[in-house]
Amino acid sequence: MTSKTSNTPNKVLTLNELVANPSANEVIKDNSELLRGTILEDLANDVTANISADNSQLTKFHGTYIQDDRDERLTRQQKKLEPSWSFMTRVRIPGGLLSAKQWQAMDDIANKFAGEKLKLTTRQAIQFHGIIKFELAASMQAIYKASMDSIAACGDVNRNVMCSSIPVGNSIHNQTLEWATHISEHLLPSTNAWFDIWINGKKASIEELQKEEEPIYGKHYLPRKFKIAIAIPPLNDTDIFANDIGLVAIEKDNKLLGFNVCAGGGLGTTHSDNATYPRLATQIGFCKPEQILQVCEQIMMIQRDYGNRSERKNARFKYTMDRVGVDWFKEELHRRCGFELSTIKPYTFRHNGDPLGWSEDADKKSYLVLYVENGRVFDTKDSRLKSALREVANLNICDFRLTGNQNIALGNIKKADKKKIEEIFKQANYPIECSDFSGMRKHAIACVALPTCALAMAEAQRYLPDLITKIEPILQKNGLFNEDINIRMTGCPNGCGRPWLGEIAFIGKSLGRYNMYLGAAFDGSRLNALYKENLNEQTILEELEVIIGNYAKKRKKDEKFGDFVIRLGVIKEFQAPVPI
Amino acid sequence: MREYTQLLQDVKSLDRDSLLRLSGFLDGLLLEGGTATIASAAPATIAIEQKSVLVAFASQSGNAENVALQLAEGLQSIPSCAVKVADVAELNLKKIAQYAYVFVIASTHGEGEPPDTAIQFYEQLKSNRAPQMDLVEYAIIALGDSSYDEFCAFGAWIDKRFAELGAKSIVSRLDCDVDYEQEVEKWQGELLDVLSKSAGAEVAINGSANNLADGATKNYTAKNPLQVEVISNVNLCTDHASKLVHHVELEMLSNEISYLPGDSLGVSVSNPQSMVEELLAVSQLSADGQVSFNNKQLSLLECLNNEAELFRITNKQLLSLVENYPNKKLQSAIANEAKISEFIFSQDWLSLLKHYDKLSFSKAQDLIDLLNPQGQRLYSISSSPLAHEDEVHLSIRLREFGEEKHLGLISGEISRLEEGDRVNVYLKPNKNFRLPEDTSSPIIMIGSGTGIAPFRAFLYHRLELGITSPSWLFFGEQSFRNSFLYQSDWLKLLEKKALSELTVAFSRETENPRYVQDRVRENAKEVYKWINEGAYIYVCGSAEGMAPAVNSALVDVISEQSGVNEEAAKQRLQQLMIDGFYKRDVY
Repeated sequence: MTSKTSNTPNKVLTLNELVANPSANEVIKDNSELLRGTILEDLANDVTANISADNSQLTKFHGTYIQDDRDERLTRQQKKLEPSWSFMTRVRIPGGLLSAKQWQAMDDIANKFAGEKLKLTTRQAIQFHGIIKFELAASMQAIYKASMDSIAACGDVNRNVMCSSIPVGNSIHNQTLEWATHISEHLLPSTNAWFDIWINGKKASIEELQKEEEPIYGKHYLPRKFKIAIAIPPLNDTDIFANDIGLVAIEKDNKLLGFNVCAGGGLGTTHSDNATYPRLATQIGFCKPEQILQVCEQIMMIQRDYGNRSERKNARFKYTMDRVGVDWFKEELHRRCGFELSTIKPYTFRHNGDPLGWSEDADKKSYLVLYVENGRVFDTKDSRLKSALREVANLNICDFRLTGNQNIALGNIKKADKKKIEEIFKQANYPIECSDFSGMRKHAIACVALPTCALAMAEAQRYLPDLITKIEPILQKNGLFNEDINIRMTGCPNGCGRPWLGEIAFIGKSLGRYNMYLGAAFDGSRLNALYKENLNEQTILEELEVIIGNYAKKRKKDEKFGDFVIRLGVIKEFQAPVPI
Repeated sequence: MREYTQLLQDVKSLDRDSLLRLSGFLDGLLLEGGTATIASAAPATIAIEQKSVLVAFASQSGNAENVALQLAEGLQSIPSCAVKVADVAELNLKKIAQYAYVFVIASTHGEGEPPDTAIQFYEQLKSNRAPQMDLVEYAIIALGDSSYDEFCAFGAWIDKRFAELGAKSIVSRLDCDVDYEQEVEKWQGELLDVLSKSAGAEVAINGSANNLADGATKNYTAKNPLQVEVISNVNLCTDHASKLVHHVELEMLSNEISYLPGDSLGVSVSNPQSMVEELLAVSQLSADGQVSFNNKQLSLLECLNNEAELFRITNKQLLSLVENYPNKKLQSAIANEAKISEFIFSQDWLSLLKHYDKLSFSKAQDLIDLLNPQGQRLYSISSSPLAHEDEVHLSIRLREFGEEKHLGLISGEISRLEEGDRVNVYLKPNKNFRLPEDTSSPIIMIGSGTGIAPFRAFLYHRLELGITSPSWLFFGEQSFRNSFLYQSDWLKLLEKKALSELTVAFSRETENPRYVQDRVRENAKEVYKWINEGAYIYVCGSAEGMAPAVNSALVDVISEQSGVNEEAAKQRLQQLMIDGFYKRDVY
């Protein structure tokens, strides 16, 4: 366990004071001059499109990862060429809200730097893939020109703050979104490194560096990534229980009353390492909107001070929470905040999917939620989603809202403009009503995985749609084609597609082989559990044939698939290992 | 022999700097072909009384590498072991087979697959061409994850394959699950026990790298070439490139032909049969007509097959053809000087004669009188005999001719070659294009396209000899992503300090297209400093475009930096050439 040192935020600790056996990443942060490292030197090196291993840890804090096209690896190795290196940049978009102008800028960036594709993430951000090092700074400048940035979109810091953004039955979504932005801004690192490197292209002077500080984080930032999400009941479309801090927005008379605070959630694990496990956030208490910045900051700082900085696999806040205990944690939080949280207010979640199609808020503004398969926005010959979104953006008649399910909504639309939008999508041959789609397809999430993600052990977004196509006849045969079933697939157990919250989920083990998980709750309030290991397509379909058949025959009225498999004992509810 | 033992004793007592100097001295002797007394005395390897030990790792996540480093550290405790640690990605199996002891730490990836970095090693080991390993003793640690079906499969496969190739296992294989630290420690203890027991024993000298002083290599020529086997043949450019550059590795035993970096290799090929047949048809001549060519009497067919040059056309030949056989189409195609050289570059004799609707020679000799004897096809060698033992590498750009874009003589041959095929070669030494004898001299190498070939040879040679004097490579090609020839080699050579500076120029990048001469000018101050510090300048590439452009860039550099006029700068450059500091290999 890490040594417990002062809790005063402003004391600058040396790395050895902080922890006896710092992990390699801690040393990199320590030497980085507040996240600068030698990134500028690496950008200027024109004989490789790669950057150093240390710098590739640091660029994450700037929202960009080095990756290579794994499909090309062997061929390029034989050709004596370095791997096909490129960068994935993730734009920070609190609550997933963009103006039409900003969407135009994102579309331009995709066209100019990223192969004419955008990827909408499960955390309401936009990812660009395939940006070559020599154009990376120019692409960052284009993001900045659109009044956006990629600061802290990855790295050991608070990531993009999520928030439900589609009105359902009430209209606090716009007020709540503002809080998402406040939290995100409040918890941003204060180093000027991002601007130095990407916008100004030059290193700060020694005097400037001396003046800089990180009042919240300190120079070692957090032990690991940190995630915050807000949900507005009855939707849990942001899967708040999977977050380090999950906030439930509580509404009264179309006003935001405050937030139920949940803490200590997180999904990522390592295969075959029992010291790693998924954990849902624990309900802690209720606070008023004006208290939320302080509550989030103090929770994050407890993790800063008590998180494990020796072993990265056990560095997430969920492990800290289990180690210190929920009671101690609450007490410490109250002590640090100087006030106590009140008791949790009642609320109900219905599901964690998106309300696809048209809806309306209290001000009679319309919203259109579009289904985007795996969050991939691009044109095909037959169906031109990307062009259609661009055309809508050019009209400047709505805003753009990314959802936690990798879908996109057009919001704040005047009634008179609805027809125009429908016409554009009709021309582009992109369905706005997904009536042809199975309930399973509408509730599918897959991460990027191959070929660009270095962690992937198996395919995900390139494969899940095909797998669903093969499951659909089974659903059809059992009269379940329209049944909403939540299915998720990731290429590794790191958890980008939140697989532990799928009623059915697959986590890649090796090419074509997956561990199969069953039994999460449809509203995201219960994890699934490992059902079988190392299944290939054929065995997956054989298993589902039996289970879906039983579900059709033996389910209670309106019983969700995840609840059914638990009740019938197909799978036992997940039990986290007892913390050491 | 006693003298030699004494010499070795003396050499071993030298400090590191003296050893480096001696190594340079020996290299100098070798570069001169070796004097009889020294060359027959010994290979230049010094640490021959030690057993060579290789700890090789095939790592996916870095675990195998860590275990390898730990093992190597343990092995340091046995003084008779000379230990090298390396990624299998950087090793050639033939090299591996020359170690006395080989310890492999191999991770298994996915369902029994090798890690990505070990795929080439896997292919080599799997191949029928894998070398015998009778002299090797080995041990293996397999890392894996027992939750996968094919637990530790790759390590187990290497074990099996090594045994098949004749290697002897000295400690049985260790299969490790995700928690392996303790088991590895125990296993390592066993291994060290076994090794230290056999420590006193003499072992065969393996892996002595510098055995190229064998003056007895035979004199092969274009007409009397050596037949060698193709090890591999890959196009170095991606499918998006607008050219094809093949890297061909040939097996060439050093006792057959021994070469040095800077030398060229000639490739002998008969003219393609289909081309000869078509040529006979176009010229309406009979294959068995007798002709006299190059003081020999032979049939037309034989002459076209083996003796005559059918690809290269000279200016003079072209003009003489048009004069003797007037043709309007041709005449307009070659209306001025510029058009002529462009025309010659893109045509061969078949496409040339096809310009005639109907061409009739009265006799075979008329056609033959137009032709020259087949020219030599020489390629700068891109390998080092030290780094690529018993191999020779060529870097060949494939060329196309005529409207039908059929491949050139060697291009056609190269494009067809596969592993195991045979090619005829001979050596063309180039004494004027050698690494400096003084190994502390800086070198500047400027090459574009396949002009890069001899510099790969130079740098690998430096790597093996441990020469780290300043070295600067200027390289020009079309595209960073698609035709950066030997990029991964340069990166490795930079990392290992055999190369100190690499400056690149890409001419078809949308942002900032540049040529090597532009980059020489941009770096004028530094280049001039190197020249003054006694740098040797090497230029290799096209004699038409690149070489004169680089020459005038060098003139500009000297003139600008030393403040003399162009004429004086030219003279200075010329003097550098006369003194042997400015060397060119242009074609």
